[in-house]
Amino acid sequence: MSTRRDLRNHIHELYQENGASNALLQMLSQLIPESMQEELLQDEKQGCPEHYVDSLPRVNKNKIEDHETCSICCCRYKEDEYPLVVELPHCGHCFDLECVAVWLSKRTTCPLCRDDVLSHKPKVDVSQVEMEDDWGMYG
Amino acid sequence: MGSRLAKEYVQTAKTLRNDPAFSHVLALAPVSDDVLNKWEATIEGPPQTAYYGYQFKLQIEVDQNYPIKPPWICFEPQTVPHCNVDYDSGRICLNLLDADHWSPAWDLLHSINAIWQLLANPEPDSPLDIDLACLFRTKDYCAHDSLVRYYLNGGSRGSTGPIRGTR
Repeated sequence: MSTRRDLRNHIHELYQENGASNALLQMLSQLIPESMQEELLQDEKQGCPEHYVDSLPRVNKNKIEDHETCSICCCRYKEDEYPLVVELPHCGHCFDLECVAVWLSKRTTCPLCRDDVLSHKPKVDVSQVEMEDDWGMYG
Repeated sequence: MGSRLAKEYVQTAKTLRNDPAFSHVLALAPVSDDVLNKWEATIEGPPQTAYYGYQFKLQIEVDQNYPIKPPWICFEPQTVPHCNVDYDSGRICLNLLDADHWSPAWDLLHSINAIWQLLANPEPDSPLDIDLACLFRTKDYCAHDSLVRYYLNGGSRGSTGPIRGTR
């Protein structure tokens, strides 16, 4: 009985301090079966790693058509004099860096086709690499 | 992202005027021009369903994180008997509308369109109205449609034809 009251007081305190804090969620998760705990806590960190968006290839301004719009903010890229547009790997869909960064901080899918952007291994670009004929056979 | 709603407003008005593919969306606009985060929609019941001939109103609320977060969309209370709608509150169970399945590339018009399609294609496996879901799952469409009409006619078993529509 007393432990329950303690728990309740503890939860109340945590809630008063910061309702959105993860500590509260962690504590509440102890009340449900272990198998479900993980799932609940995982909700907090579903997005891409922080540096991921910065690593995406930028789209050159010359390659952007005048009428092309970002499907997240519905603005034409060229409305901005220096548009920062990025292309997602694999599916090739483009978005404003600023717009897609917010989305990818919470999710890992392309907004247009739901392709999981983290599911593809980084492609090694070999087209520019000059093949050496001798393959180091000499010396 | 505040300008996105303004752009959607303009774009939606244009689409509704010109695109016959959305003729079943009778209205979709902000409640007032000053407050763009509350919208209202009116859709027509899909043809060849028990909903045909009736009109349905939807309330839409959009918070400041839209379109990263999905819009909140709800039928008017006690207007829509459907296995994926809570009749008393008007709450809609459509996976597109929860955060896990939403995509910021969707807009309000396409969300409303998806709800219109849900009217014609009930999903009895994730029901909010068990009775309608059971009838639909046992493929007793006649009983299902009769029960829908019973509700649509205000709970009285009146004529089975449309009485409230303005067609």
